[in-house]
Amino acid sequence: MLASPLERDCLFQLNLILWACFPQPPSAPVTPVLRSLGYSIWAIELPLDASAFEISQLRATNPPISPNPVCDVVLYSDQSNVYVLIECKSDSFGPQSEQARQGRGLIAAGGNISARRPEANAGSHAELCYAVPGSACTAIDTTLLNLAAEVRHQGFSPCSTGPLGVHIKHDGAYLGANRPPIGKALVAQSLVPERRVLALEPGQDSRPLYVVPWLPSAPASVDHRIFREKVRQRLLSWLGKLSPPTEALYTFDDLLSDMSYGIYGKWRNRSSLKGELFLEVKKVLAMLFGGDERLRVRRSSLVVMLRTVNDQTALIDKLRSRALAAEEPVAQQLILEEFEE
Amino acid sequence: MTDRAVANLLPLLRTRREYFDYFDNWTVDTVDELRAHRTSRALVKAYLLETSSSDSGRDVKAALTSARQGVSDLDDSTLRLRWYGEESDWAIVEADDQRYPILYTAVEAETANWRVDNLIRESPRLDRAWFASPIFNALWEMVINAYPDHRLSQIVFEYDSVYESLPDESIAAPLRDSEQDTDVGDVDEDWVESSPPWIERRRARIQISERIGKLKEAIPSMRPAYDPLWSIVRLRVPAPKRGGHDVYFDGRFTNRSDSVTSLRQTIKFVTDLYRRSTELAEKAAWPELGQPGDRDHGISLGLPLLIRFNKELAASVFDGWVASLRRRNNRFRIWGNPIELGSGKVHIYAVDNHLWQPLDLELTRDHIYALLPHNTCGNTIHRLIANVQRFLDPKPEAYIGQEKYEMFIDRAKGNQLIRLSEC
Repeated sequence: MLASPLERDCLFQLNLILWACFPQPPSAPVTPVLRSLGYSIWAIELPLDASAFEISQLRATNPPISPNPVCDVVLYSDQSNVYVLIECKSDSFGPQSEQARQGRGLIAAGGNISARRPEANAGSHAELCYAVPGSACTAIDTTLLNLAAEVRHQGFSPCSTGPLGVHIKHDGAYLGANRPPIGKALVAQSLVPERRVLALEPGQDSRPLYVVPWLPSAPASVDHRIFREKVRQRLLSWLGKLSPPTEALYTFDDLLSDMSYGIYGKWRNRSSLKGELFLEVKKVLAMLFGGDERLRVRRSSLVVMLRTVNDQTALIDKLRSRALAAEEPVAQQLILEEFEE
Repeated sequence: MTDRAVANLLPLLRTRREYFDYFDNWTVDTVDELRAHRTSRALVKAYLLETSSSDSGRDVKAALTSARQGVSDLDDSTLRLRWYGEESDWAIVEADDQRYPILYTAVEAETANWRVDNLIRESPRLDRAWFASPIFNALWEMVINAYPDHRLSQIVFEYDSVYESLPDESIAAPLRDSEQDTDVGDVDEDWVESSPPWIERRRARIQISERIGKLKEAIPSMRPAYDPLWSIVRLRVPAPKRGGHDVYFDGRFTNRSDSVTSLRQTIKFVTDLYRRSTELAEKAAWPELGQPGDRDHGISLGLPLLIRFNKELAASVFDGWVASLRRRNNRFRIWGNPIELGSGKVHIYAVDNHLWQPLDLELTRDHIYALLPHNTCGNTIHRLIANVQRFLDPKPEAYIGQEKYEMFIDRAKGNQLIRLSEC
């Protein structure tokens, strides 16, 4: 059975997992299935860098084991003192694929979690789950076991692994697998059969409110409406609080951080994202303000010049009234000042 | 507002105490004269305001300064307000807490309400306090415990299903907040019908003046039969001797007793309850992203606010409500561009129309989920619940995370009692 586009959407997967950890009252529309198993969110975009000693050992590995993997989200269980490293993927992959290096890296990092994250609780251990469309659970389970065997074969301790299936059904969005996985990761074993996280009325879209509106690994085909509306929201909030006359600057770093509850600041290698993300921000600015002389867009920031309250009101009105389609070409040229800040 | 001279401006006095002594003397005369129907003098009234923080912190004086009025210092924590063109001050402000200043005045209610509305509208750093029903229920419980059954109280319940009548223009918020509760005068008035008579919808406003003993028996037995009785918008807290103090849902207080000292005690009690519950709600709802290891349990993304409707909203009500949020001027005072996610479900990455604070919302016919970014004021929670109960469902259930909203109020009340016992 083919996975739906939303099941394959890493951004949806991540936000579904986050909602599955939020405490909720009984009979709420969201059932926090991960929380009810004892898990809470511990980190997002967590680097699991190897020490210099470990790197020297990892450098010579074949097949290669990534020494510095970054994990999309990490959960922690007080009861079992287990960290669950979760990586979101649109599909399974084989041991020969490019993604296998990162997979081996995460398995090795999970097997040595107290060295990779010294703040981890004493005596704790970790397991690795890949969030994939429900139909890919069996395949990713097998792949992860193969990768773990390769890691062990090269003298490193692997962690337990397992699939975390994402299913969209007529009555809601589910997490788990419909048959027991072979991998021994506790959370994967516990979510059999799959359990409903979001309850839906017929015909409703499964998306929860997005805490994270963007992921480095999000495919270009992702629905940009949420990202764009969040840009609009934050610009309104910023503009509304200014007191004219004023010239104010909003850096794209601050904007992206504001849009993501500060999570943008956690992304490693932000500089490599800037080309992509800043371009997307500029696209939205073009749709909202194209041609407006009160605005200057620089390489990584926005400057607004408000002489009067009328300037402010006019820009706010523009922000509110301009359409932001999910996919829209840049129709109007922004006034650009492309110089280093 | 007409340009006629404003009555009951304040004399120039030297200390805060002198002002409150003046209000006290005024009160004794006014209440007695009102009772004898001999006076048009206004009652002393107060407004619990809230300043929002900026990069430079909170500043009551800056928040109150406007193109229409000047602000001067009386002492370190008391301000005088003077409307431009007038020769005397119209109000004083206690600013012991830079977040929650309290404005006192004796000018007539219509003028005072108009001025306070105006100040708030013109300052994105200033808002009023918002009391949802659970806060009134906590106050009512305090009243029951504190006063004998024979004392009188007054409760006003209100529910107006404005979204039943799209495209009725009444969906737009009134230009002045004070119009939302039409009892703006010092003498109660009938509820003004603002809609044309051919528009039909559920609408209830019930005012009960009764002995506390009767009320405490009657209300619990009437509520199951008529849900607007869950939506309290005004409560009279009795004064120690006679009369009482009216507490309004939008942070207003009117003294109908012979003691301004007891009015201030009521305001202090309500302010502490409000402050504490807001702080507790903010602590729970705001995300905190420290470094992993900073906290025993990693990062916190904050807790979502869930408001569940007692009954599923009619499709037409839901559609009318969502459509109203695209308008700049709407009763919920938030604006956003809804992302439609199938029938009866939208997401809105919204902004507060007044304070410009962001708020992420999921709206369905069954519930609201809200995520509050860090620094979005906790009064957004109180206001959202207060507006839901007045315009959508008079008996919503609200949770922050898995805890009922009432638990935050109870905890705030508990803390107050602990502090009192420590004194």
